[in-house]
Amino acid sequence: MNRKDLLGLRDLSKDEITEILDTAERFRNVSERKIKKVPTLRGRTVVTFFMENSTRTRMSFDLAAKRLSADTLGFSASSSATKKGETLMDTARNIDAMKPDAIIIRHSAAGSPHMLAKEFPWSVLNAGDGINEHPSQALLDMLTMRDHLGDLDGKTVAIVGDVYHSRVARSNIFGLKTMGAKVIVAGPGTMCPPSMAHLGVEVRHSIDEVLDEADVIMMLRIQRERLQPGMMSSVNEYSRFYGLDLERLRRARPDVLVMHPGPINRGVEMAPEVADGERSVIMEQVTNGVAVRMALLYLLLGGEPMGGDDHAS
Amino acid sequence: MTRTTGMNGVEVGRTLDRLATQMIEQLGVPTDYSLVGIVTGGRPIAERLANRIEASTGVRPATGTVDITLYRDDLYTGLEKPVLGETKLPFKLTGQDIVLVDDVLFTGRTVRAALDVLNDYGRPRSVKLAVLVDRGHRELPIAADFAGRTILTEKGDKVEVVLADDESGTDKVVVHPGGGQ
Amino acid sequence: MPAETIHLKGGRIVCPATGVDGVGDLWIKGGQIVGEADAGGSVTVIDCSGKVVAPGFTDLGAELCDPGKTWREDLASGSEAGAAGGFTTIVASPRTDPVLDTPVAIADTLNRCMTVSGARIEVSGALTHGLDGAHMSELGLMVDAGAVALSDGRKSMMNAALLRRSLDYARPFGVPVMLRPGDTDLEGAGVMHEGDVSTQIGLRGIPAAAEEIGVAKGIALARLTGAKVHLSQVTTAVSVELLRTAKASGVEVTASVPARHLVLTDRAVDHSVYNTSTRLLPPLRSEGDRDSVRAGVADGTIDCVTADHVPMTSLEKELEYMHAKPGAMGLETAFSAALTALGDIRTVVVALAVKPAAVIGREACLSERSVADVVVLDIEAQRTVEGPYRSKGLNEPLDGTVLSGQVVATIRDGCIIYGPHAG
Repeated sequence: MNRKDLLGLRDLSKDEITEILDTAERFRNVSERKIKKVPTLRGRTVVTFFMENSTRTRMSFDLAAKRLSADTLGFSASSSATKKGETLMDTARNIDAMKPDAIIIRHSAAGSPHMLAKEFPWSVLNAGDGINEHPSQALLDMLTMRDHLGDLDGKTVAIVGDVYHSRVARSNIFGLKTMGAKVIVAGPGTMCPPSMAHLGVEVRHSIDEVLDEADVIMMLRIQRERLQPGMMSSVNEYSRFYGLDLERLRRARPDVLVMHPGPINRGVEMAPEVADGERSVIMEQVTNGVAVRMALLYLLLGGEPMGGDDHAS
Repeated sequence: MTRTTGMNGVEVGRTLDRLATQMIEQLGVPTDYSLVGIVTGGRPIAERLANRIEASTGVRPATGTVDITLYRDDLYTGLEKPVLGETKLPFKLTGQDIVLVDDVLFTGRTVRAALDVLNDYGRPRSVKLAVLVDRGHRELPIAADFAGRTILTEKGDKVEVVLADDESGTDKVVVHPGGGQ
Repeated sequence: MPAETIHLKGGRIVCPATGVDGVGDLWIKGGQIVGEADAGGSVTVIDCSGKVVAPGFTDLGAELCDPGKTWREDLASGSEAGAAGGFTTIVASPRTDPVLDTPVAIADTLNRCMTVSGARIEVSGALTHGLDGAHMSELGLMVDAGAVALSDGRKSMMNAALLRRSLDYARPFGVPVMLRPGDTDLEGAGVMHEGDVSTQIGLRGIPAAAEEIGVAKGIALARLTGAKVHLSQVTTAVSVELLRTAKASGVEVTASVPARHLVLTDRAVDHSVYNTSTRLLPPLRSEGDRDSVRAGVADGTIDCVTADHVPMTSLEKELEYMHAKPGAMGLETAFSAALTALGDIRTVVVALAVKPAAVIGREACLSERSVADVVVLDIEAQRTVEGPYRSKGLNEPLDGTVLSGQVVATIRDGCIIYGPHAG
C-alpha cells in the first residue's frame, strides 16, 4: 500500500485490503504481550480529531497509536475552538502549524477528510465522515470474518438496519464486494431504498429473508437520536421485522457469525442472549479494532518521516 | 562473479554440525535453554541446530522466532516497507537462557533489535548468539558466542544464504561483490 | 475619446430576429446600429472576419450581492464580468442585503447602476418582504420605479395559495414573475442530486421530484392566473416533459436552464472529490437529465440559457461540502458552456440573447435603429477555463474544463465594454 491517506474503502484494491488484514494479524500479537508496545512510530505525532461523539473508536485509535509508541493528541467536538465558530480549515491550519504526522478525523460532514487530505501533507485517516465511510470499522469487520470463514470470496454477508445512513454499512459493502463476497441488505423501505442497488447489493425487506443464505449477519444500530420523522414507525415494529432473536438465530445457518459495530441497543436490533451467545463475535471485533488501526498507522506512517532529515545509519 | 569465500552444501552441513557440538558442550542439557531464530534467515538455522542437538542428546531444545521489523532502526531510510513476520515465543522468557540464532552477523543492528524484542516479552536470564556466518563490519559492540565460519567481505558486498527446505545438499552461501546487485 | 463610429467588418452576422445569417458589415453610431450611409466621423474598425457578430446577451437573474455582501460581488465587478461574458444586459436578483423589496431600494440601485461601465444592469423586485415567502411587497410601485421583473429570489414559495395571489396581483403590471421551481421540504438536507452518484459518495440527495413538483405547480398557477410565469433553473428530464406538454396545450410559460447544467453532471461532485464549487441549487443532475435539457433548448421547450451567476469566496466555500453555500459564478463562462453543449451558434444566440430579452419585453436585434448591443464571438476557439476572472467570485466549477467559443468584444449602447479598443 502506497498511500498518504486512508479515506475510504471505495478505491482500495483487493491487494491493499489483503495487505492491511495480514498486517493487522501480526499486530494482534502486540496486544497480547505483557509489554503492549513496539517502538515503530516512536516520536511521531498522531492527532485524533473527533467532531462527533465517540468513546470507543477514539479510544481504539488512541490506543493503537500509543502501542506503536507515537505521541497522541486529542481534539473533540466540545473543544473551545469549534464553540467559538472556527472553521474546520482554520482548525486544521492551527494543528498543521504543530507539525503532526497523522490526523484521525471523525466528522459529521461527508468529504471533510478528503478536504484536509488535499490541502495538507500529513496522513489523514477517516474515522467516519457523515454517512459516507468508516473504513477502519469495515476492515476490522472483515478481519473478524476472515478469521472464521477464511477467504471472503463467494461468502454471503447480510447487513441489517438503517443501511442507507450507515457509513459502517457503506464501507463494508465496498470492501466486501472488492473481496468477492455477496452482500445482501435488509431494512425498512426508508432505510434500504431500491437505490442501494447502485452499490451492487441485493435489497430485502425482512430479516427472515436473509437467514438461510447468510454466512454473516451484521446488525446495525438503530440511531434513534438521528431518526427523522417518518423513517420508522416504532421500535416494536422494527424489532418484529428486523430484530435478531434466538428463534431467528436457530433458523439461520448453524455456523453463522453474528456481528455488530456497537454500541448495541439490547432488545431492539438484537436479543441479549444473541449478543452474548456463541455465534456472536462482537468482542473479537473490538480486539481486532486496535490491531487494524495499528496496521493502518504502520502502513501509512512507517516509512519516510515527514519533513525531517534523518541521515541513513 | 562470486568469491571463493562462499560455502557449498557440504561445508554448510559440516559447519552446522560443529556449531551444534559446541553448543552441546558449552550450554549443557537442552532443556535448560531455548533457540530463537531471527526471522527470516535465522529460523531455518535454528531448526537445523535443534535437529542436530536432538539427534546427539536425544533431547530437543525449545524453539521460537522473533521478527524485528517493528524494532528496526532503519525503517525511515526510504526502504521498501518489509512484510511483517511472526514473533512466536511459546515459552516463558523470564529466567530462561536464550540463544538467538541468525544466518549472517554483519553490523549487529539486527541482533540489537532482536534483544529489544525479547526485552518487551520478558527478562531472559542470559542471551547468547549463534550465527552461521560472521562477515565482520560491526557497527555496534555485539559478538557471536557461536560463529560457524568467519569470512572476509567488503562492506558493500551482499552475502546470500540459500537453504533448501530439506537439507538436500543444495545449501550454499554466496558472496556477491558490492556495486553489482 | 471613443470614436464616433464603430465598423464591425466582415463578420458572420447572426440575427435570428430578422433571419439574417451571412457575412457582412455592421455600423454603429450614436448608440444605435446605423446604415453605412449614416456612418461618419472617426471610425474604429474591428476586423470580424472568421468571427460571428450577434446581438448582445441578456441574463435574467444574476446575484450581484450589492448591497450587503459586496465581498462576493458588487455592481461594478458584476457588470465587468457580464461584459467579459458577452452580456449587454444583466437583470440583478433581489436577493441582496437588505433585499430589494421596496420602490426606494429599486430606484437607488438603478441609480447606482447608471455609472457601471460594463453590462447594463436592470433589477428585479422581490415578491415578498425580505423574501420571507409570506408578506407581499409593493409590486406595482417597484415596477413603476423601474423593476423589469419580479422574483422569488430562488426561494421556492411553498404556499400555493399565496403564490397564486401574488401571480394574480402581479399580472396587470405586465412584468414576468421568475420562480425557482422546487419543494423545500422534499429538498430537505440534500446537498447534491439524488441518484447513483450520491449513493456512492455518501452525500444526502435532492430528488428530481422536488423540482418537478415546483414545475407542475408553476405551470398550474400560470394556467390558472394567466400571469407571465418564468421558471428559472429547469434541469431535469421530467421537468422538460412537463413544459413541453404545457406549452403544447397553450399555457404561456417560459423557462431557462443554467449554462453549466448543459455541460456538467452529478459525476462532477465525485470526480472533483467533493469540490464545493459543485455545490449548487439546483444541483447538477444525471447524464440523462443533461441530455434532455440540451434537447429542450434545441427545440425551444426551454427558452433561455442563463449564467445563473452566484459568486462566492472562500468564506462561503472553504467549508465542508454540506456547510458550503450553494452557488457558482457563471457570467464569464456561460457562452462557452452553451456553445460547447449545443453546437449550433444560432440556437445559442436565440437562447442567450433573443428569448431572454423577450422575457423582459425587449428586442435583441441587429437591424438599423436598434440599440447597439452587440457581441463579437470566436466560435472556433478552444480554451481551458481558468482565471483570473473579472468577477470577485472564486467558485467556478468549469475551471480547468476545455470549452469551445470565446467572446472577442462586447458593445453596449454603442460603446465597447469589453475587448480590444474597450473605452
